[in-house]
Amino acid sequence: MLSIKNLQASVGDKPILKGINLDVKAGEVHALMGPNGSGKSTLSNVLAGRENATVTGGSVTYQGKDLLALAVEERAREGIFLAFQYPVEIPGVGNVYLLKAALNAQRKHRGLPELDAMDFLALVKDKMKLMEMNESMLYRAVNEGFSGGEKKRNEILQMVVLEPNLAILDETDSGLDIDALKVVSHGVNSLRSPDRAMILVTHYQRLLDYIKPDFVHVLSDGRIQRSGGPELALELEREGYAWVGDATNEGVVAP
Amino acid sequence: MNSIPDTLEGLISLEYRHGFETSIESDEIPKGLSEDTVRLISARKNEPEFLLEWRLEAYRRWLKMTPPTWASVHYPPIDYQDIIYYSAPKSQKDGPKSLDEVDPELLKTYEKLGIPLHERAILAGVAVDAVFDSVSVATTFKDKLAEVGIIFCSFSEAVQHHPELIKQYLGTVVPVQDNFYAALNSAVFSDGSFVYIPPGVRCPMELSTYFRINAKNTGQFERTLIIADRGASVSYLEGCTAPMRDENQLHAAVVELVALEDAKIKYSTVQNWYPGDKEGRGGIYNFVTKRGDCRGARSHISWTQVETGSAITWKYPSVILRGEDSVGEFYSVALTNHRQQADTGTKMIHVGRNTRSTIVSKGISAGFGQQAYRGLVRMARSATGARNHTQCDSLLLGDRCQAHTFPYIEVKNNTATVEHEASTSRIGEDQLFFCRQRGLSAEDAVSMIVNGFCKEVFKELPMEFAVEAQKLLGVSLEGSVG
Amino acid sequence: MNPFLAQCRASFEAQATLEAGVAERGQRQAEWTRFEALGWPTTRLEDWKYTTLSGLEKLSLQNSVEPREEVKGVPPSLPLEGIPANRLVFVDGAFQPNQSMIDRLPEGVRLRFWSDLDAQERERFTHKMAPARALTAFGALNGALFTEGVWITVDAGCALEAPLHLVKVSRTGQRMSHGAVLLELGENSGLTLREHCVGNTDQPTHSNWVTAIELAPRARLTLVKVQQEGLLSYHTAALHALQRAGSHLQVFSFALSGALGRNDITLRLIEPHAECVLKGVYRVADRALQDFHTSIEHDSPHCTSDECFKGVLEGSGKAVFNGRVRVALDAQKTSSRQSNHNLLLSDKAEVNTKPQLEIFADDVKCSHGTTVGQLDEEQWFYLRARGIAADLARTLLIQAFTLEIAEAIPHVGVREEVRHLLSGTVEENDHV
Repeated sequence: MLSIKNLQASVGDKPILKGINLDVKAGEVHALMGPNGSGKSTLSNVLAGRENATVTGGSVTYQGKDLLALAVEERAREGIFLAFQYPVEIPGVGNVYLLKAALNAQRKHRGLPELDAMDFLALVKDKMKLMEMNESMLYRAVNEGFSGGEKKRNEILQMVVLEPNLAILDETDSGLDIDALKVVSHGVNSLRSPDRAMILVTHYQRLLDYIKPDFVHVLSDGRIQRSGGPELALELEREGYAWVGDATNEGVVAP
Repeated sequence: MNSIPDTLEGLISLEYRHGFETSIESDEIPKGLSEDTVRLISARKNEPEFLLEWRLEAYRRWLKMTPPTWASVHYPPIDYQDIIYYSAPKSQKDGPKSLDEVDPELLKTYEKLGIPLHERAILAGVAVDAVFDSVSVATTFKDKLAEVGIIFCSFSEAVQHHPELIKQYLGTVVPVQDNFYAALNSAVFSDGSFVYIPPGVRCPMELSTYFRINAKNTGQFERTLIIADRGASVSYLEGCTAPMRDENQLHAAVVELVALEDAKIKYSTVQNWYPGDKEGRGGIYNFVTKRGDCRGARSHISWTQVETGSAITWKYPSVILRGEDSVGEFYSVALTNHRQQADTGTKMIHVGRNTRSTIVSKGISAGFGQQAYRGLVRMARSATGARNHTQCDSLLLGDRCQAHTFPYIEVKNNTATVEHEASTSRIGEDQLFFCRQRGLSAEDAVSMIVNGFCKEVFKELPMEFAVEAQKLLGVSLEGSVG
Repeated sequence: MNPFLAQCRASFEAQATLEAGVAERGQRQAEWTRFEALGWPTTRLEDWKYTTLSGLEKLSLQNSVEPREEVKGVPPSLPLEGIPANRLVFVDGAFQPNQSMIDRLPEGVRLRFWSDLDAQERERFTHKMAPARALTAFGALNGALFTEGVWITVDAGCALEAPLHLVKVSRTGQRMSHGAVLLELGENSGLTLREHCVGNTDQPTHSNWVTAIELAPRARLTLVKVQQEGLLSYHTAALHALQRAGSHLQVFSFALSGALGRNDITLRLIEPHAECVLKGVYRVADRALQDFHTSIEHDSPHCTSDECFKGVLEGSGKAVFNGRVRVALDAQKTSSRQSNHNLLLSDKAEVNTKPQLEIFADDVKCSHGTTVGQLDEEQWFYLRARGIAADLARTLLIQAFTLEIAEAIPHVGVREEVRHLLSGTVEENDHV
C-alpha cells in the first residue's frame, strides 16, 4: 500500500529525515517509535503533505501513485488520514459541517453519491456512540474550547467517519488519561481490517498495550535504526532510547 | 480607598533633586531670532560655509511653517523673539584641551548631578559628553575610544575635524523641513554629541551625553548624530536636567541615528528636565525629534526612554526600517504628575522585507497629569513578511489624570502582520488588598505594582540608568519585584 | 465647485422653494450654511485622512424632492419577498405606502412621517435629529436636502418580538437619497430594527441617511444594518444614540458591498448602568472602500461597552476603522472593550486602523486590540488534510471569521438571515 524509499526531508535548512525506508502492506499496523526530535512528526507531516517540510530526496509510492505529487486534500480523498498531534481550533466552523464536507468531498472523489443530511447524521451519531462523545460536540466549532482529551477523541471520530485506507496517528496517546486512551484505542481497533493499514507514531509503549502493532520501528536521527515485532517496543520501554546510539547527539552524526 | 491617592502622592512626587542653579558667567548673544542670529551662531562656532547655508535654508523654511496642533498638549503661544539662542560658559570660550582645563565650577555642577567627569571616578565604564546650555564642556575617554577608531566628541568639534561625515549624514534622517521644531533646531542648533563607530567595531563602553540647561531665558537646541558603520555596535545614554524656574524654557533637540548593514544602535534616555511645580508653573517644553534609520540589511535600532520630567513632552522616537531583516524597538515609560503633559510614542515605518518592530509603552498618569500615546505602524507595499507587535498600557493613579491612546496602523502589504494591544486601568484595589494582606505596606505594594508594570521597559535600560529610572519613579525596588 | 456640490446646491435651491413653512426653509438654510462652512471633506482633514471622495465629487446626482413619489411595481431584485410584515419601504429616499406593511404593528408602536407633521412637531423632530446631523458634513447636507423622515416611537413597556424592517432602496441610477430616522424607545420597551440598504441599479447612486436614537431607562434596542447596494453605490450614514439609565443598545453593521461606504456611529451612555454593544463586518474587494468611524462616549459611571469590528480585504479593496472610546471625568467604574481584526488577502488591499482611547476618569477598565494578518495556515492545512478543497477551505475560514459577529445577534430569525448573507456561496453551515 505504502512504500517509502530513501526519503529525505528538511525543515528550513536543517535536514530532519535522512533516508527513511519503510513498506506498509494492507492490513498491517506499524508502530514508529523514537526519542523527541528523531523525525517522527516530520515523517507524518511529509506523508500528509504539509508544506513546512521540504522533501529533498527519495520517493513515496501509495497505492501505485507518486504520493509526493499529490496536494494535501487529494491525499486525504485518496484515503490518507492524519490524526494531528495538536488538533487545530477553528472558531466559526462547525464540527458537523467539517465532517460532512470532508466525507462528501471523499465520496465525490470516488464517484459515490453524496450523503444527504439524514443518512449523514445517522452515521455520525452512530460513530459518536462508539467514541463515547456527547452529541452536543457536533454543533460546536471545530476543537474550539475542547479539552486535550476531547480534541484527540474528535480526531478519532473524524477517522472512523472517513474510514481511511491509511491512518497515521501522530502521538495520539499524548495527553490522554487511561479512560480516554481506552476509548481512543477502541475507536482505532474498530477500524482494523485486512484492507486498511495504520502507522502509529508514539514516544511511549503505553498505546501499544491497547493497539497491538504487527511491526515496531525505532526512528532516530532521521533514520530507522531497528525494526522488529511487538517485543521491540517492550525492550524500548525497559531500556529507554539510550542504546539506539549516540546518533541523536549532534557532532556524531554519520556522514 | 481615599488613603491611596495620598500615599501615591507621596510616592511619585519626590522633590525635584536637580533644581539648583550654577552661578557662572556666560557669553550670551542677544534675545531674538533672525537670519543674523543664525549667521552669528554659525560664526561663533567658526562653521564651514556649507553648514551656514544649511542652517539658513532651515531658517527660511521654518519661517513658512506653523507649530503642530494635533498633539494633546496645551500651552500658550511661544514668543520666539523672547528666547536667547546661544549661551556658553565664558570660561569655555577657547574650549578646554583636557579635563584639567574645565572650569571647576562646571565640574562641581556635574559632580552634584551625580555625573563625575573624572575618568577614574565611579562611572568608569561610561564615556560622557557634558553639554552645558549651548556647548559641550567636556568629553571623557575620547582618547581611549580613538584607539579603536571611534569618534566621540561634541558636535562642534566634529564639524571642525570631520566635516565630511557631517556633510554626508546631517539631515539625512530628519530633513530640515521635517517639522516646525526640527526646522527651528536645524537653524539654530548650538551643540550636541557626535558618534561614529567604524566598521566591525563594538564600542567597548557605554557612551553618554549629559544635558544641562542652566542659563535663564535660553532655549536649548542640541543636535546629536550617531552613525554605526557596517557591523558596528554602540549603546548610548542620554540624561537631562535643569534648574527650577518659574518661566518655561524651550528645549527642541534633534537626534539622528544611522545604522548601516549589521549595525546596532541602542539609545537610552532618562529625561528629567524640570517639570514645573505642583501648580504647573515653570518647567521645560521638551519638543524633540528623534529618528533612526535602519539603512542596511539586518541593522537594529532600539529606543528606550524613561520620561519623568518636563512640563510638556512632545516626542516620537522613530525607526525607518529600510534594510531587509532590520529590527526596530521602542520601549517607553512615561510618568505625568501634577500638571505635566506628555504626548509621546513612536513611528515604525516598515519598508524592507522581513523587517520587525516591537513597541512597548507604559504610561503612568497621576495628579492632573495628561498623557497620550501616539504611534504609527506603517507597512509599506514593499514590506513583505514584516511584523509588528505593540503593547501599550496605561496606569491611572489619580482621579484628575488623563490617559489617551492614538495608535495609527496602516497596512499595505498582505504578508505583513500587525498586532496591537492596549489597556488602561487603575491600580486594582484587590491587588493592593492582596499585597497588604500578605503584610506589605501600602507604599511597598504600590511601588511593587508600579515597578512590575514598568519592568518590561526597565530591563532594556543599561544598569546605571535602570537604577536611576526606578529612583525617579520614586519607588524603591529593593526585594519587592519578583 | 465640483459637479456633485453644484448639483447639491441646485437641488437645495429647488427644495427650499418647495418648502411650505418659513421655519422649515430656515432650518434647511441653516444646515446648508453649516455644510458650506464645514467644507467638502478632503484627505487633509484628520477624519477623512484615508478616505478620498474623488469618485463621488465627479458625479452629478439628482435628489428626490417628493416625499411620496410612488414607484410602480416592485423591481424583481428588491428583497421584499422574504420580509413578511412590519416593513417600511423607501425608494430613492421617498416613502412607499403601497410597498410597506405597517398595519399589523401593536398599539404601542407609532410611526409618523415628516411630511405629515405640523410645524411644532417638525421643530421637535429637527431638534432631536441635530446631534446625528452634527456628526459629519454629510449630516448637514442631509438636513438641507432630506426628502422624508420617519419618527418611530415605542411606548413604555411595549416589547415587540417580531423585528421591524426598514428597507432603503437605491433604485434609480444617478440619484441621491437623503432620509432621516428618529427612533424613541420608552421605559422598559424593546425593539429589533432590521435595516436593509439595497440597490438594484448598476448606475452610480448616493445614499445619505441619518438616524437618531433615544433610549429611555431600561429600554432595549437591537439595530441590524446590512449594506448590499450596487457596485457603484456611495453610502454615507450617521447614527447617533443617547442611552439613559440601564438601557441596552446593540448595533450590528455589515458593510458588504458598494463602491464607497462611510459610517459615522456615535453612542453616548449618559446615565448609569447603560450598556452598548457595537459590532460590525466590512468586506471590500475590487477597488471598494469601507470606512467606519465609531465613537463610544462614556459620560456616566457604571456603564459598559463592547465593540468589535472585523474586516476582510481582497482585490484593491481598502478599509478604514477609527474607533474612539472616550471616558469622561465622572464616568468611574467604566468597563470598555474594543477590538478590530483584519484579514488582508490580496497584495493590493490596504487597511488603516486607529483604535483610540481617551480617558479622563481613573477607576476604569478599558482595553483595545487590533490585528492585521492573513488566514491561519494551520487551520487551512487541517481542513485540507480532511479532504476539503483548498478554495473551499479558504472560503470557509473567511466566513467563519465574519460569522462570529453575526452569532451575537440576539434575534434568532435575523441572526439566521444575516448568517445566510455572510455565507454567500456556501449553502449551509453547521446546521445540517
